[in-house]
Amino acid sequence: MDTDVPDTSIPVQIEIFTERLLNPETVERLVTEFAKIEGITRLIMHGPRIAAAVPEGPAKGTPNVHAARRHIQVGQQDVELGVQVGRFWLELEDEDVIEQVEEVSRRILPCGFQINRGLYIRTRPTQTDYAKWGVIKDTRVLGMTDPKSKSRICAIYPRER
Amino acid sequence: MAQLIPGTSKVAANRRKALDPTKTLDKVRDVSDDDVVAILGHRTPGTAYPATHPPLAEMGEPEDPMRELVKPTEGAAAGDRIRYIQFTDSMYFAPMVPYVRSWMAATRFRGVDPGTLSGRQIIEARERDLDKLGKMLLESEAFDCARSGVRGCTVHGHSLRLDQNGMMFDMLQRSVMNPDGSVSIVKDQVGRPLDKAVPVGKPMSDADLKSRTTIYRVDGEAARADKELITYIQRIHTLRTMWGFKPMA
Repeated sequence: MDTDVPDTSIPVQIEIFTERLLNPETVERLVTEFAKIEGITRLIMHGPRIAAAVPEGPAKGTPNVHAARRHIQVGQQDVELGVQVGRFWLELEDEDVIEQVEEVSRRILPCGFQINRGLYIRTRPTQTDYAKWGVIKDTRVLGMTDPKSKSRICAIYPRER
Repeated sequence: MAQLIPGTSKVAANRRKALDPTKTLDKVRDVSDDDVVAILGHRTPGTAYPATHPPLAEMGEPEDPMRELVKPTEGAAAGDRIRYIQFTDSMYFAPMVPYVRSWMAATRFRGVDPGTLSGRQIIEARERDLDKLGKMLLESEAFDCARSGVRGCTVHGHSLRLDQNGMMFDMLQRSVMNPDGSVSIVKDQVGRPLDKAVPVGKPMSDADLKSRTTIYRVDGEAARADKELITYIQRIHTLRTMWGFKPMA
């Protein structure tokens, strides 16, 4: 059996891992540039959480004033950042897009970064998905939610959706 | 001379300096007494120390040679509450590593209970003793305003990448970098906003941090490159492994 035949069912997914945790302004500029690239189908921003309220201690429940927790504008869409971004997971239409992503990252990011190839966003539903959402017809939403979060979608959607 | 830490590297020398109570740590900033109290957040600056028991002098303690031998600290004598200060130190060349911070508290201060966790270090003491040691630590080279933090809760950040501006990640953002590059502490150690920001100066440069750090790192001074340190660690490891806590060699 020829094992070199590429499995076309496995999507092209990459991770951009930055040397520093990025501030919202940099994230806004970078994602705005990503939005201009044809061929990025899905994108997730990942990093340590910044809670809206102090989660523990004597100040529990009071608003958490943090410069990195704010809304960013990507095209016409307003996105609330709940994390300090340190990784981007991107699903691409094909491998040729990686070069464009790398060029944009090099231009925008003020620090070093790595681009890793792997599988970062789920392609098949889990039992938890079924329990929470039932049968998912649009497979593009798979892996776009944080299973532990009470919020629903935590990723950028195309404008028309 | 106490045998504190083996090693010929700069990191080992820094550790010896931190642990040796006869050596004075460099003072790198000024923080007022009231600001220290505000950062700790245990009481309002300027108010009296709440007591948990009457002063020892009024308690009529029984005669005891140990009581005469070991004099109580100022806070214990006054009957202060026991309160804490907790530090988080970034693994990116922070001046202190949590274990060394605990050892330092044990060798430099009396009447304290230091404790080390994976990425944070707590020192418990009587309140007025705590104010003094907290001030000393915050003003010294053992604290860098970007790579160290006073965090009573939500301490996460020690092992995370630094922020874009070089600050250690803090979910509660207790300290902020000003446009001129200096840092101000804007919340107390549990995340309550302070009435006024406490300026703590500019962060140390990378070169300065590397010269003061007590952290071995492969991209700084690697522990394995310090032959003397490794020799002692291997010797202790061998003795412990072969003879437990009663080495006969």
